[in-house]
Amino acid sequence: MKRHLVTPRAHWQAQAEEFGFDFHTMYDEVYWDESRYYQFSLEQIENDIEDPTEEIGQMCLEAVDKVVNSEQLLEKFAIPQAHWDTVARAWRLKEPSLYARIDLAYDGTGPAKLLENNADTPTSLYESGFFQWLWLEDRIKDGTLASGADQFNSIQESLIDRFSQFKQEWPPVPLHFASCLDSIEDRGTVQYLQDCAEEAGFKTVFSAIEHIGLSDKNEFLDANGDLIRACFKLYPWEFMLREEFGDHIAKANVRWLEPEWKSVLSNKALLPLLWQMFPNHPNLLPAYFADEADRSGTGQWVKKPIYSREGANIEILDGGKVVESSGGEYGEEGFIIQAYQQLPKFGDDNALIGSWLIGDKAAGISVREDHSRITQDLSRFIPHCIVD
Amino acid sequence: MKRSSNVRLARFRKSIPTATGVALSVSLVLSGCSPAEMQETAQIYSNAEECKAVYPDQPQLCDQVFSSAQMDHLTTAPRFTSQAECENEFGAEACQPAPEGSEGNPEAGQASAESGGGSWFMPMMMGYMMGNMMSGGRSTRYTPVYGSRSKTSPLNGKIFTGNGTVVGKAGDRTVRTTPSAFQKPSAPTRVTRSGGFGKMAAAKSSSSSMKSKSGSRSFGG
Repeated sequence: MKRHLVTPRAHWQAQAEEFGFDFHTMYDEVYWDESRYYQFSLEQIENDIEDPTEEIGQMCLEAVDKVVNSEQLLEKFAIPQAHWDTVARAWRLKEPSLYARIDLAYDGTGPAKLLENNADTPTSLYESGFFQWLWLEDRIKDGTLASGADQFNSIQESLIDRFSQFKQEWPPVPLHFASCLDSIEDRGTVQYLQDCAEEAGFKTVFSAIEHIGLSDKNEFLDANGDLIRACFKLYPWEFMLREEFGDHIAKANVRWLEPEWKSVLSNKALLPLLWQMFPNHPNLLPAYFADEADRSGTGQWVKKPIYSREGANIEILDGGKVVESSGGEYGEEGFIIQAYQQLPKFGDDNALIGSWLIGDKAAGISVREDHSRITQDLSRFIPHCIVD
Repeated sequence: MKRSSNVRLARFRKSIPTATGVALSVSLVLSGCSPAEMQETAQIYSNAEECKAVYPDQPQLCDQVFSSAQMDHLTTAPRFTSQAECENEFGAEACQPAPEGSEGNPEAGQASAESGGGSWFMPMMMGYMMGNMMSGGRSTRYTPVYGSRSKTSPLNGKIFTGNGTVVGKAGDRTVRTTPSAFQKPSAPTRVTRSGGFGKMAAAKSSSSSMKSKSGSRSFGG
């Protein structure tokens, strides 16, 4: 794993424009950053990232099975009691998952360590599956990379395959897509998924999360007043299950992507549970529930809220003292602690690998850089290649 | 190979490439058709008089379109189970009882009969949106439009059609829209409760620490 500094392609902004990548710069700061790229060997990708990603995916499914069958764990995971049956039912019915992004600390040597599983609403998908691919193609063409250069990125093909499978197995209903009104980043991610679903033969309809209504028969409606029967929502289950509209999920008869049981995985309580179930697994970091939080009195630990998005409310502890923290509005549902793992540093930047699971297959990676040790939504997306 | 064999599909191209944009848009005009995504201009009028001021030589057409829009409004405006629900979405004194038996489809009549009352509430029509008369060909496109003064509604300050498509903001006279925005809903949206999900996201966005980052924060991760 190496980082190379390069001159960005002259036309990348025009290309972003052409393909509707309108969040390449956010909050006046560059987000898509191709002034550098990461190089991996095929062995690093296949042995250290691809295989462990699928193995972690399987371990996570075992964890879901344990949680939905234990009231004690459902409580620890802060799943609202009124929704325990709904979550368990979706799991029993094997409602399929579309995707997840597993965040790994990996520096090119030794086992990658699981930091968390963004199993419910992962973003940076478009950049990973599409724009990064265009970058590689151009950089081979302009000679920056050798003609044999490759990339770990079958994301788009895998997504289309996955949607094709749903299309075959599901009744012929349109697939709704929903995200929050004011987030262009979320809208961009959802548009990309919509394009992939259409490519697989689905009719798709976008509806803002805020415009979903309720019919006289307590079914969910889109902004046109049409019934929602299947819906991809880029909106966290932990919010949906706590809002007033959430009371109607159990009876509304909607196939959700991601399904309800993802509320168990996109939850930091997963980390201590995995450590209990698979102690000393090479890809896991020691992690504990709040009742063993006194372990953080010595050594370096990270305190994470059970529910948190985009790196909010994270604290890094050293010898029991907070040495770094990020603000935010999360944390009321409790915390877990996880052993601190230094991210690899390249220059001033900390690099984090996001490894994509589509269904249960590893399908590609993204690399994000942040000056801070806590990767947040202002981190930059860096393209990568495989060159031995 | 560890990557997709091709991703560069027409479906993923969102706009006309800048270099060839001019030439392409000329050819679209000449061929007389444009793809659905192409935006077109439309006018917002509160009543027929405003239309006549713009098209003094077409008073009949203005009257005709206005009354058609009013008819469509009666049959297709979104329905709410109570005045309060409706006002919650559209603002105080912006709603009226829906005319009896005007739901426009048998299922709706049945549903209201079952619930015993049959009374629904709907927003008042703010005006109507009309496609460009001069280039519209045989029939002029039109649809009733609505506005919201409700502070609690995501539609506050916007102009939108009966099928929920936002076409502009309050005060706009000329808006850019798509042909699909003119599509008449097959039946009125019967909203027993509106506002949808998103309340927690709204609460978190408006809290102090995130304000500085603008409202466009991601709720993904």
